Amino acid sequence: MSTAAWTETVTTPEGFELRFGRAAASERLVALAIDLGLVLLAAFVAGLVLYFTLGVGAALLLLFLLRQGYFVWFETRWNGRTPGKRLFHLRVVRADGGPLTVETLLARNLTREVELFLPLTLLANPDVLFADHTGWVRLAASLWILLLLFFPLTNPHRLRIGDLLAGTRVVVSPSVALVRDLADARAAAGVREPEPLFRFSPEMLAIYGERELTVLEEVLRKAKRSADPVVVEVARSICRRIGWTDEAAIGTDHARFLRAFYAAQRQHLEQQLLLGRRRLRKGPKGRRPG
Amino acid sequence: MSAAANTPWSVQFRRERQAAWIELEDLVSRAERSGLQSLGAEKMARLPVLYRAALSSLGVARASVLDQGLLQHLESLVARAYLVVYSPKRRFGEVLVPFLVHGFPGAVRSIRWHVLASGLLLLLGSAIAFAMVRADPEQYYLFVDSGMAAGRDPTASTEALRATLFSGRDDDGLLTFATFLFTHNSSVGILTYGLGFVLGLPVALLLLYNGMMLGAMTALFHDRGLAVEWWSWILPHGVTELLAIVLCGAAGLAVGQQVVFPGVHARQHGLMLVGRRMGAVVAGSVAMLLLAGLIEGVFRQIVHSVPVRYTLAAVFALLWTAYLALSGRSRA
Repeated sequence: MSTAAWTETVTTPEGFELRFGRAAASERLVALAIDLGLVLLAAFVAGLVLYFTLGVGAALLLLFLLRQGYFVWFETRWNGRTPGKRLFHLRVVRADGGPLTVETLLARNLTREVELFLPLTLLANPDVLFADHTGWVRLAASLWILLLLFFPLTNPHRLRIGDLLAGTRVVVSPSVALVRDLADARAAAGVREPEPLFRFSPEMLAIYGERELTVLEEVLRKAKRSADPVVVEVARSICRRIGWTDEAAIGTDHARFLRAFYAAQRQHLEQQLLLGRRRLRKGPKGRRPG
Repeated sequence: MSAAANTPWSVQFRRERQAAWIELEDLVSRAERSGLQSLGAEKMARLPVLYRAALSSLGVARASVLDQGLLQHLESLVARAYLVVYSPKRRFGEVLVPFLVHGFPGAVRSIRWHVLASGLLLLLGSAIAFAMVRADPEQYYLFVDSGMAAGRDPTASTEALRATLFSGRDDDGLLTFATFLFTHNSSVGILTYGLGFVLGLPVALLLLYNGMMLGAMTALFHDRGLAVEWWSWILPHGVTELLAIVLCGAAGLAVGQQVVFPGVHARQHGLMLVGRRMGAVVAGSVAMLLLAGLIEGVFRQIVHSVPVRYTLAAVFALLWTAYLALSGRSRA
């Protein structure tokens, strides 16, 4: 998730704006399919067992509980997650930043009766719904019911009707490991801060902006070995752009040169940031007040 | 700062705070796996401290750190920690008692006019069907399909009709019947709430239709001089069941109203405020329907004395009125 778009913001009770990725409709659909599969499986197995032990009444009750209770139960116990959502790191959060309450989760899941089970019944067996209606009535009602199913595709936040009524969003919250800092020479070389191998003049560092720095970081993190052709090519093109002529100092270890340039460039841009000057990208338009 | 000239300041920033982030991530991972309770008192007390520290680290980092690896880790760590720190109450008692004492009755009181409107729609439906069937018994089939009627139609003899009011089913079937009624009615009630979103019209139709079935059957039994027995059959569970249906209908109407006439709030915000309360109304109604199903499936099949049936109906009517009107008032 190198360039994840943080598109859902939630303001915490401390007044801090958190950023989450928005769950894609496709991921939510697959998560839903998995959850429904689990419900069906549980209904089938436990339903049969109950039918033959306690009778049809117990089986009916179980089916009802599974159908209405599965999502509310898991989202309460697992803080906005169901087994299906968990697979895709999806979570339900409140748009206004408060903790999920049972009322919220009831509000968002009881609507499944209308927006999920009603359309599914229509698709599976329309005769249940329109016993003795035919023709136009049937067509109009079917279209109308199917619209409910596709409601999330009609708005940018991919909200279900239940999300609207409960004020919730479904977001992606993956866990991202803490990676090594590329600019931390001590972490690589030992306890002492090593002397810088390359010295870049202020003019050399005034060319690139934050966007180029991010790309450079990505290149360095992805490079498997120092003779990686991408690394060599990037190093050469940077040399040309900043006017670095000391080829001998670089030698064959282009990655070492790139790391040094990355550290120097980041140091320069961060210092400018602390002074309130922001440079987003190279060129005359890159300069913005920070 | 002892760092060399081309070491960014964020390197030092990270060195000073890294230990706290790692400790926080450990706590968060553990809480995600096996719940907040598994942390123990000491670690639990550390969690908010570490969370707030990470929050402020992220604030600084967003403004002035250009290490994407660090930024993305902090964004994800703080988000995960936030979700752990503000997790929902999970103990049964913590949720259920406040819900019963003021959540449910309070939510019902907040839509009292919708409850009235919903009740009137049900009554209107009954009145229409009652009048039409009294005028022409053949109209009965308009309102009650043969499956629901189960032999209770204008062609049945008066004796057969009387028998349906006092028949006891075999003991084995009682609970099954009660469960069927409960799950069926609850699904209809929950459906009603969701249908509120499509402008509330289907809710009004559903209420009218339910009223019509009741009205048509009432007319049939009135015609045969069985009015007293009929009401003694309906009311013991009907007080609870019809009230629950009316409440679900009211919830649907309230949602529908919010969609069409958002009032002072932005539509999305208003929907959320109404939606949460209506979720509570519907959940409470489902509990009421469970009770109604038990009365209908068990009590009514066992007790055949008309005065006892009326007494029970009156007791329930009083209890529900008092509970919904008064419970949790001081908290509001």
